[in-house]
Amino acid sequence: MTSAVPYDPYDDLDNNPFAEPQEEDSEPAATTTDGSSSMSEERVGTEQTAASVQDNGTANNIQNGLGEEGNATRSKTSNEHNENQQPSQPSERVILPERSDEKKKYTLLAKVTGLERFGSATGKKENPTIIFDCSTNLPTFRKQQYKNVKKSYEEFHQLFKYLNVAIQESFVPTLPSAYTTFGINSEEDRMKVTRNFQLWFNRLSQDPLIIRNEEVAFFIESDFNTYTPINKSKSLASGLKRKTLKQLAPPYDEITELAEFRPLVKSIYVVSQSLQEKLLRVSRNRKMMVQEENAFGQDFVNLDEHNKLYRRYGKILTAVGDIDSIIATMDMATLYDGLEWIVRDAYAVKEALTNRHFIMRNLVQAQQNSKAKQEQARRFRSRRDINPMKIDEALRQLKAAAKNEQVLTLKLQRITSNMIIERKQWISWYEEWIRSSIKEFTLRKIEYERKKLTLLERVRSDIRKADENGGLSRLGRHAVSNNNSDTSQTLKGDSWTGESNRKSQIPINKIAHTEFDDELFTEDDGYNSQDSDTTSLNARHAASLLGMSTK
Amino acid sequence: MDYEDNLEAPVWDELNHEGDKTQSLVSNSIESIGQISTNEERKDNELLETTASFADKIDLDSAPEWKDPGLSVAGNPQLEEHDNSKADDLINSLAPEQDPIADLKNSTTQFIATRESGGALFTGNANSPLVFDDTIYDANTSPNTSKSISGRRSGKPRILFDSARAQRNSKRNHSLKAKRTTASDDTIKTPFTDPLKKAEKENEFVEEPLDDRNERRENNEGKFTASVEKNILEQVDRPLYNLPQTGANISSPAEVEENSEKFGKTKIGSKVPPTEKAVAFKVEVKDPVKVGELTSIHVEYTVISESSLLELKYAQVSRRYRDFRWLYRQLQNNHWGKVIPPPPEKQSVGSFKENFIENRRFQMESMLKKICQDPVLQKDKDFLLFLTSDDFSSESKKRAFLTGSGAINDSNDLSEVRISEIQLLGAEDAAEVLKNGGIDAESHKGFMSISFSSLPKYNEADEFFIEKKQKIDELEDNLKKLSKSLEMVDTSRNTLAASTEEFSSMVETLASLNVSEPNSELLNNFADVHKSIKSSLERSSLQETLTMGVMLDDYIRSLASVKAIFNQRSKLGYFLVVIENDMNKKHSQLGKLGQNIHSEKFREMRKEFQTLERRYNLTKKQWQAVGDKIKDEFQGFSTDKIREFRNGMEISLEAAIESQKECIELWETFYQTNL
Repeated sequence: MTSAVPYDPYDDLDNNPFAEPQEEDSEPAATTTDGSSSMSEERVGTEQTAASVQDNGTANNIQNGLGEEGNATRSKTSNEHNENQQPSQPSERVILPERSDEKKKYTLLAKVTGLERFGSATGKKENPTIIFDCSTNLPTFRKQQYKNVKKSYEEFHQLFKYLNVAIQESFVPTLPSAYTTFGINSEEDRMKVTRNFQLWFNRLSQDPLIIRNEEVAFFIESDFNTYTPINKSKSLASGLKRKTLKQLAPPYDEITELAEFRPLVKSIYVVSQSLQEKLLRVSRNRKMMVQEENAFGQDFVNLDEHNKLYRRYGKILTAVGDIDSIIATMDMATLYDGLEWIVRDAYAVKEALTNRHFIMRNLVQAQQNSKAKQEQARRFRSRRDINPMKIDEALRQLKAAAKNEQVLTLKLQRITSNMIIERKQWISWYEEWIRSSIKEFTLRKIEYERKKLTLLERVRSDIRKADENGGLSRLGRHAVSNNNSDTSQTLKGDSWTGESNRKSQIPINKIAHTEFDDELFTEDDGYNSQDSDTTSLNARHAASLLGMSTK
Repeated sequence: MDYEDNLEAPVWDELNHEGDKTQSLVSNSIESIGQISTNEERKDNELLETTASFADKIDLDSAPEWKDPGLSVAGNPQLEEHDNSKADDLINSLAPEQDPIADLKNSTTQFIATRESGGALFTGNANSPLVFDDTIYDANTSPNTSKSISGRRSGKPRILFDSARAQRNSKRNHSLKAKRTTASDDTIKTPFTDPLKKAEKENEFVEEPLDDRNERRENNEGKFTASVEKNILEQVDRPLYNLPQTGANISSPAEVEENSEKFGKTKIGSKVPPTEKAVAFKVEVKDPVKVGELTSIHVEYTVISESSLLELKYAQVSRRYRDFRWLYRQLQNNHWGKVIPPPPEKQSVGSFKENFIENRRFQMESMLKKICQDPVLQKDKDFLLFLTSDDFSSESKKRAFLTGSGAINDSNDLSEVRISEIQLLGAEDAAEVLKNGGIDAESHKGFMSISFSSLPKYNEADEFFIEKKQKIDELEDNLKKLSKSLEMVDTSRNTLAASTEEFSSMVETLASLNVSEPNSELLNNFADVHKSIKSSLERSSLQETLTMGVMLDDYIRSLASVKAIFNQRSKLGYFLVVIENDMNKKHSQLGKLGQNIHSEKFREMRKEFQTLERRYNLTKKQWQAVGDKIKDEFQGFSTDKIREFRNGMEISLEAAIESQKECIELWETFYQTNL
């Protein structure tokens, strides 16, 4: 437990010293055996302390609510982690009632089944249609099953915009991008976008606060291309005001985790963005290199049109260049797109945390306000000659201020406790996502680098055949075989590594054939057949086979 | 038993016959080797004869040179003292024109010089080694002293050489003993009493430099304690090396370019030994130093050469780029129709950058190496002058003037040639021609005002030349393109490497955010892989430049050199046409004057006609000779070049494969450990 009670300027105002121990007493009774929940429990405890310190005399009932909140959080986490059957305490005052249902009473399951791209060129790219099935037991929905729901990306975006503003407690997951670097016409793109939307739905439905929002139901139940948010929500601060407010120093935050989280997320956002930029530059430079490699290969082909060796070598060089170009694209499609989502999400999280700061600031103001009102009321009490009208007025103001403060406190508590939960979730999502992006990146890289090797090894025997005395045989490497099947990558593993049991993740036959085989072989075969008629007669050809042009 | 043993063996064998009375030191094992290798011995002797006859040829070729008094000073005394045996010819031709001051520097002064510095020992141009021997051995007349010296010497290598060389060492000891034989022989006999016999003796030692050169090199490189004794011993050894060796390719040190050396080896191994073989020659270009100020600023390179062809076996001089150009032009002039290894291209901007200098140094070194591997070029007087001369700037000018090569006014284009009238027509006639402003100037005279169209034109008659010329142009074009795109690939690869590094450091930044332990580790490893990839990229880029790039560059410049010989042919052809034209004119004029045969005018005319006829015949002969030579050269050239090219391809392919494997390995390892 964060033992040190944070400094609080209103400490001296605490006129209910018994509130806290009371709460502490009530807690152990509700403590679960679950280890993971004890963490959140402690945090909630801190929360309670903080809250109770902030409270003035009228806040007793809120503290009761707090206790319940603590229990609710606990039970929620235990539900999430090991389905622990613990009866939740039914209460209207639960801070996060959505998280208090023991066995995920309400669920929303979505399965993305397809992706359609039609319309104008930009529409195709920016605004695909996502098709999904949906089943739910949420009371906000009219049915339980929805089949083949079609929603355009634009609609998704509307929903996200609404949710992001309306649900301040959660880090609403951002939409994955509408297209990938694979190119919108490729199968890989389709699969990737579909998968990303599935992941998005999964994240969405994990958040009880979000799925309970009636707007989700409106979204799914509305017809294709007709959805616009029905409820209006207003951002706490937007535009210039938001910018100005962001300039202010963040308010004091008792929750260290969240206090540290915002700068962390911000750095993730900034670094990921520049990482993307660097990756883009790498990829661009690689593409430039590909151009040069192709030109180099082509020049080799041009060197002597009748020489098969040069032709083949040039072709292979060109093909290697093409593979480099694929690698450049793959780099982008895997890591760049992966980072893209991180950048977007980190931004959304950062803004959500900013919103929390705003609310904290508002709360501070409300507290000051209610304190002022209280002061006023006290002054009235000490006086003898009081105008009853004035007293009434003061009391009303005091009540309003207290109410406002109470609302804000509650809101902040909701936000804080939910964010503490979601912070962990977000971090593990981030880790998992970056890991999977890197994994995909690496796998692709290995696959194509292996293909490159296959290509290079394919021309090796040709060069070697051209001159028995030449090349590396000069360096004493006579042993190298001359047959065409001289490849270092076989089912048994790689010839150059000692670890025999290590198998590549990519099946051999996938590497052994490249995208350019057709091109390379058909042309060569054509050339061969054309040549084979004259082989026996043509001394010139014989010479060219030996790698010497007959100049 | 390796090949080297074979080559050495005959020496000992012969020695046993010659010197068994004085020497019983030769070990039994060597005798057995000698028996096995009698065949070799015979072969070697044959080779000697061929080289000797070749030397004769050289002597004849360079006959005009000897007329020059300054040049012949050193050579002549020797000639007087020897018979006209083959060996004498060899000595003359291989101890070429000497510095007049060499005589002065000779004998005792030499000792002082050697003590002062290692370099001076070899640049100090000793005159005839034979004479030199005398001075030394006059001092130590008794055989005992010389024996003791050589005895000391045989001990010395043991200190100098490490134990890994034990085997060779023992061999050398034998050789040293053998040497002592000759040494004592020399000292016992009064010098010059029997030059013929001496020459014979020298013949026997043809093979020996194999070991001795190694040793010498070690001496030079290692602690160079230029003791007097050693110096004497070097003098003792020197005459032994004035003869061309056989099997140069095999014995040539590792510095000789690997490709051709190995190829040479296989060639020798499989075929009958070629008629001419190159003498082992070691050249090094190093230590570029910036010299001069402002306008005269230039870079000087130290050229170190070692060979038995140099009369001091070792020479160290400093040369600048311009001198290499001079050498190229001079060789081109001396050997018409021969493809001369080209110097690097001129470059006016940025010629003091380190990379550039290193590159240029490498190219010049390979040029010299190629020259000294060529059996003809390596014996060229101008080449040897280039390697040894101390006063190069004036001597080179003199030579250029004497040969009319125009090497001083060097054109930028390597393929452009100048045909020396001196070389073509002989010195006297050339002087006449030059006075009138060159061969083609004669045709211009008087016709200028009439029309240019009447100027004779040379049309290549031989299909071969036209076709090949075209081919070469085409090839050069393609190669230039290839080289250009290779350069571009290289540049872009380096850019890629740079951006990869940036990426990698960014990944590290992300890792340093420390979101969680495993995440940071993953990202750090990811960054590391990228760093390795980056260095792998840079390495392969460098490799590509060093193999493909250098080879392409060399190929292109060689093509310019090939074009030069074609130009020589066409220029000669042009001269031929011009002279023929003139001759015909004179002939018809002569016909007109035919009536009064005894008139002064007729006689003059006839004399002129005869001169022209002589010129015509000479030119025609040269024209044809050059043509034939070109055909020969060209065949060899393209075969060599294509082989080289193919090798380059293979090496760069293998390098690419290796770096590819490395790359895969990096990623696989990353995958296995992290994902």
